[in-house]
Amino acid sequence: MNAPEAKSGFRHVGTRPVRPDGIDKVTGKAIYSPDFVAPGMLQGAILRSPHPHARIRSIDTSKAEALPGVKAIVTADDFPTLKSLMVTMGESAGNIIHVSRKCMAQGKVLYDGHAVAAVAATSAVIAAEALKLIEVDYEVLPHVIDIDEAMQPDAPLLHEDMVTEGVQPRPDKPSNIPTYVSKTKGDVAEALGRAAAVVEGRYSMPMVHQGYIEPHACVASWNADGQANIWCSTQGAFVVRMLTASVLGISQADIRVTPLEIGGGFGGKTTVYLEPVAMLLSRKSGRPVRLAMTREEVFRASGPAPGVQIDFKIGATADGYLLGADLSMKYNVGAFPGNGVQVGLITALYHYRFESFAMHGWNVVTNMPGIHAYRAPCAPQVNFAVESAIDELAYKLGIDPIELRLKNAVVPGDPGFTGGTLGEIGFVECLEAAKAHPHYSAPLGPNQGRGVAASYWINAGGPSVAAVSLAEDGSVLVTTGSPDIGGSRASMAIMAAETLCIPYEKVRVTIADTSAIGFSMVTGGSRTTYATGKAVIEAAETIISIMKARAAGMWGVDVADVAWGDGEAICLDPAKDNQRLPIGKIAARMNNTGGPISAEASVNPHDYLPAFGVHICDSEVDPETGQTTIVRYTAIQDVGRAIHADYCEGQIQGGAVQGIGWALNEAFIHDKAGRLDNPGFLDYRVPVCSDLPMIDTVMVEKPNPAHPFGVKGVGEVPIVPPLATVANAVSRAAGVRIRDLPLSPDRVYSAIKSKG
Amino acid sequence: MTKQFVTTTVNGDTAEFICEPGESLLDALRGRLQLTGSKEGCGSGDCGACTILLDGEMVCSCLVFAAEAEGRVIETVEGMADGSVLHPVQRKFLEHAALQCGFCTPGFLVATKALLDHNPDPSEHEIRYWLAGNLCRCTGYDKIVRAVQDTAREMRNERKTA
Amino acid sequence: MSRVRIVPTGAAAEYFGGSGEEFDAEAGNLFQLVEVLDARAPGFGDAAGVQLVFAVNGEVTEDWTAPLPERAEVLIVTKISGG
Ligand code: FES
Ligand code: FES
Repeated sequence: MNAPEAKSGFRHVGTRPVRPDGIDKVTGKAIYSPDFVAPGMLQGAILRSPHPHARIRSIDTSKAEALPGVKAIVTADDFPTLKSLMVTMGESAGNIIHVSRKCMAQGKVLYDGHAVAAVAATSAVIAAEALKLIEVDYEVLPHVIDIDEAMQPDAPLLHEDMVTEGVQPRPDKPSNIPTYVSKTKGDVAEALGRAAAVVEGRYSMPMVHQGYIEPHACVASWNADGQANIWCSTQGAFVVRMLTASVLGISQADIRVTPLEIGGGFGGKTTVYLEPVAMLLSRKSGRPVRLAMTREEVFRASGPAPGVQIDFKIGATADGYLLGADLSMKYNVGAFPGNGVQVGLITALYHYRFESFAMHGWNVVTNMPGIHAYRAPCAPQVNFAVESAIDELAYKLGIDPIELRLKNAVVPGDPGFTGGTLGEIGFVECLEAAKAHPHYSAPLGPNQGRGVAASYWINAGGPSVAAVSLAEDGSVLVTTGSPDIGGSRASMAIMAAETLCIPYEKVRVTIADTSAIGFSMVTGGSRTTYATGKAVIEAAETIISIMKARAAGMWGVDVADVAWGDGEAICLDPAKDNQRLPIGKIAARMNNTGGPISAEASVNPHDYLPAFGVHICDSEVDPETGQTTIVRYTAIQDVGRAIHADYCEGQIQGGAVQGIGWALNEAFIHDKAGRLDNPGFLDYRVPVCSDLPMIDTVMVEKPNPAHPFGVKGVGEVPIVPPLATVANAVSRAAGVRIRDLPLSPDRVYSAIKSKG
Repeated sequence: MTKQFVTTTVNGDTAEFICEPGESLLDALRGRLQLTGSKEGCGSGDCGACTILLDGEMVCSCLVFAAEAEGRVIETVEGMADGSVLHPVQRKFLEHAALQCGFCTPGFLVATKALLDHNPDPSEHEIRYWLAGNLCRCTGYDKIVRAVQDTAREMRNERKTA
Repeated sequence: MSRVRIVPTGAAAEYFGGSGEEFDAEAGNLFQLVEVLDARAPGFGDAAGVQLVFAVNGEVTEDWTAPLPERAEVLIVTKISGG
């Protein structure tokens, strides 16, 4: 609720004002990507492969071209040949060749739904008709979906030139394993030998999807002089610009990307699938072209999160101190090498003080869409294994699961994830808050079980630009290049208003296009309130110094004799009797004191801190059907400091529920022919309102000393603990440990039956 | 197939459009009438982002043929506010931060209005089941349910004092 | 010029024989270090900053102009992605 609730010392930080873009979004006025219309716009459509693996012998588009109303057709031949080049997307890197091949198959299709051709026509009906007239001659190849099968030496190869990185000596044969990584500390075998209790198991889960409700869509308009406009929904207009320019081999300054309102992204909208294709269609037709995915296309041909198979062995002393962990991780990264297990490696074990560990990991390519980021990408999978095993260990040792975690939790000063030491993290505080929470000691009903799990996410910093300027009446404009995916306009306005000591309503925030402001990294990695926020604060501080100087000029005093407070300049010169000049008066006179008052800040901060979360779940399992009901759920998280309390809670609740869905229902299911069997919300079942209780949140606030208001980044860590939290609760309720997700009724039912 | 000419009432005003026989009402609203407040999340009746009222009944407009709108009364999110005065449920969604990306919001608002028209005092259970056809991937539903409860409370009080 | 300890991990190790073995190098700042390492392992320069980041004595360092302390440990790690 937006009741005034200011924290001591702050006038806006921690309050809950209505978001500045709110009215547009509750009245249907906000323009999301499928809503945008350009004059004379054509409708595009994409032909997609029905085969998971096939060589494209030829594509005949002549019949489609002859259809009246068809204005352009694009195939792989229209894409420039690219040199292998690593590019930064979001905070990770990818090969531009793979980005291009995700837009359009080149030579081979690698998954069911892979794009093979695109059409632009005067109507959607004609475009759809034209797709049916395109003839593709496929040589169907054997496909592979399963991790183990893909790792076999005789498995069908997706990429004939792919050799495993990270093994010595370098393999002389290609395989479906692009990456091997490892990290060890101490002697695990010896440590586990001393353990009073050991837990060992194999954990698995299939690919899942971000499931944003707005399908990908864009409009592109590419003029004959080489200049282009793209309107799309994205977490990062600059990444769209860079990837589109790189895929097409054109100058970045020639593309102006305007980010429209975005209907959810969760990491999935930090790349391009449609934009380069729409650009080529536009160039060929000479008209703006819209491309929009259907829901089925989103599931078949965007970037899901990896499925995994993980072997984990862990041991502890009788009093619960962790001795060693032996971890083998296989991440199914889909059709292209991706950042999978590399992240698994640093998000697996570093929240506990292990005496020793051995971690080994493999990425495996298969005939499924290439993975992309999904909220704390690749961390939930390994955390599920680790936190399930910790839970089992606690019960084996007869130690309370939170107590066991407390005994081993890392604290400030412990070794960090990249060497060095951990800063002001709040893990122990979260565990203590969980232990003290009434939920943790509440009685359970019949067939109910309680689970707990803990996790962390590294968070991110990175480059951002923000501009702040004064209108002539002293109201304030903030401009950033960070798309608002969940209320960040509100948090930027709060931080600017707090810095300038003016009312929240006097600040208005605009998300600019890529030609109107300097580079900002994507809205992702839980970085926006932290990094873009720092840029906003810095620009606002510059505005204050300019205003102080202008006030000094108006008063004819030294600038050292001017202070800023309460939205006004205060004259400290005793001769001037403490005069004050409000922001409005300074703004009204700004053109008589030196000209417009505006400032831009460009930052690249890296003093962010990781976020920690501890979740508690009560589940009830129906022994007759295996159906699980979430009865109660509490998410505790160190947020550093909440800038807008509601949107912080909202991030925690939304992340927790995505994690609950991942644990209970969600899965990519492929049929024998390698086709996605459930490319719709009916069969890919995300949680609905009636599946859930209220999600209680507890925000622990241990401020980040490196951020003026203590921000740490909240968006991602809440999706990490739910998988194990729910699985631990279900295992208690069902009386049997289940190590495979999702915990669908049939799986839970057969586990109950098999325990006898 | 020949195109069809449709005359209907949208948010109190007469609206006319020409459509394909197979065209959905959602496509007609968005494409022909430029009412893009109703969203398409799936096109198959599974997400509720396209929810509208047709003769007062809540429907997924993606599952209704545009031609079926002939002579009917349609209400969409664009018609909920009374001029510049928001409907209580719109206001409460903002006050409770019941939207993050806002893409599901039009559907939830229309569905909530329909719920409260039918049942001014729904329990949490009734709210959750009524809204089970509307997917939200951002919020986890907590703040949505609270906003609906608060709207119901306020509308009941207003009725009492009226 | 400072003598620093290079600790290549993950994808970075690929450039230096793959075993992840540590070695010493001399450079005044990270720009110079990247040049030195690129000469030793052609292609490294392109990956640095895009695919790889540097942690100098445990701190991820984006400002490559900062002088490298003598005997600093320079950990080279794969960039990781957020959502
Ligand atoms: S678009 Fe109609 S229910 Fe999803
Ligand atoms: S607010 Fe984004 S889907 Fe509901």
